[in-house]
Amino acid sequence: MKLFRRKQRTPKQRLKQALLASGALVVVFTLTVVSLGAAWLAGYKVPLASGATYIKVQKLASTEADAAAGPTTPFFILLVGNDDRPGVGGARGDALHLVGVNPKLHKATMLDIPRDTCWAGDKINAANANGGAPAQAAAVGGLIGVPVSYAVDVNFDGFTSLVDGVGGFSMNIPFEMHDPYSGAYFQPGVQHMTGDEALRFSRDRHDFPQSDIVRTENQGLLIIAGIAQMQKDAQSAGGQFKLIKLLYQHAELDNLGVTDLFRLGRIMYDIPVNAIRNLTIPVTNGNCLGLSGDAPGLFADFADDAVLQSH
Amino acid sequence: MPSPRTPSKKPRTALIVGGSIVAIAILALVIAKLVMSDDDTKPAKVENSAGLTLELGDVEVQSAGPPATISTAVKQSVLDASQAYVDGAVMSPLEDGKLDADYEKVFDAAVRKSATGRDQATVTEVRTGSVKPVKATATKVRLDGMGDQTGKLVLVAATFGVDLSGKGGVKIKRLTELTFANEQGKWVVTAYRVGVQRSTSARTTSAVAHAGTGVVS
Repeated sequence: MKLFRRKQRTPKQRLKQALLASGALVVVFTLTVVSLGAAWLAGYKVPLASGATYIKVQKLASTEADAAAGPTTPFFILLVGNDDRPGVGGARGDALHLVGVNPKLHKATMLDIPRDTCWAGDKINAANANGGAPAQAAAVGGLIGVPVSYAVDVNFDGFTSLVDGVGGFSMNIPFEMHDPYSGAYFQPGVQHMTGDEALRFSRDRHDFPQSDIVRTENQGLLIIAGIAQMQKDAQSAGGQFKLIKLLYQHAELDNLGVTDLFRLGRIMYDIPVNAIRNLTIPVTNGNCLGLSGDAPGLFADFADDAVLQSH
Repeated sequence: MPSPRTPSKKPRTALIVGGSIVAIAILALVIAKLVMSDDDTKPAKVENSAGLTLELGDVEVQSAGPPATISTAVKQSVLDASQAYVDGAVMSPLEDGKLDADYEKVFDAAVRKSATGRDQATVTEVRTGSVKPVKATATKVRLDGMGDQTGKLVLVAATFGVDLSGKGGVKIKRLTELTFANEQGKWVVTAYRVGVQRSTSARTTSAVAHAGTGVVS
């Protein structure tokens, strides 16, 4: 026996209820469509359409030329992949890559910095958790001996959304990967990477005896593959404009305007991928990694014109 | 006495009313978007003494913020500057054997040095010289615009191809992309990419030139 018996409604009452429900649905749907549309027209980032902002691009210091002309002398960009994700927090700089760009020589060098490298009595990746990308840039710039002009800080979600935003890219996987921790399962050879696959590739360290050192180098390979894809997409000004729009949809930009990005894009377009050196800085073993003896010479070679000549 | 409305008609009425509201809302948004997205008014053609007239083609505008548009005046300004470049840097040398110095005025100071120096052999036809009579055709000029975070138009790229032929079996194919920025109210070329293929009965050469990184060389 039912304890509570529903009151029997007459057909008229049921009809009234149905009319009210469908009316409410129509109103809610209409309001939703109109609100999203109005926001879209007003240029707001509608989460359904554009995804959330997980990337931060900052101009930290002015380069020699002004924004209208773009940087004309060597400059340095720090790329930070932080480990901020649900359940972890912290936002340590777990992937650190310092890119030196020489616009006149049409060359670039990327120094890959292991996250456990010692700096100021701590692991260098702690700087990001303490003071964000500016602090991380100060730490890496201090270690290498260069001023960092731009910092790009991205977390896991931002990384995957950006890679997916450009439709993924092709890269040559150098060796087999089979790592249940990162989920990286790859065969060697050229393959198309989605955002999620690229993230798995970039996180794998358990497959290698040298652990984070090899992982850092792999991240460098991934970045160069990403640059190659963006160069393909930016073969026309229209393509470059679409990339800039994509960046604005996914990123928060500090002190950087459209013209800055256009100039920087043209500079990167002018550098053939095979003119980008990728090198992991020489470190010693241990929990907090010190610099090996040849590091000062390498850093000086890098600092003078942003590219390596004698290394 | 009016006949009572049958209950079965009410849901249908509600659906029609609701559907109409949604349809009107969507239609209003589409119309608003179309109105805001672009001004489709075509600028007038630009006449040229050599007979090659550039015409406007497709227009696409991206924006870092609210939707941006390219006004008719800006389209005309960019089309005029593109025509001045073609007249002065391409047609004039092929017709008269010399550059029309006015073509330099379409470039901003940063890229002018490259266009008139390092890249002159690609950006212009001065080295080809006169091959009169010249036949020339051009593709329509595609415009790509870029708006900033406020929706203000800051960059416009004009892309077009020109095919030329002249005395001695000379055939020239040119693909030009001129990116304009507004400099004190005037739209000037702040970056360019130019590709050219020149053929005679004896040989074919090709070259590419680009500038606009801010680096002056």
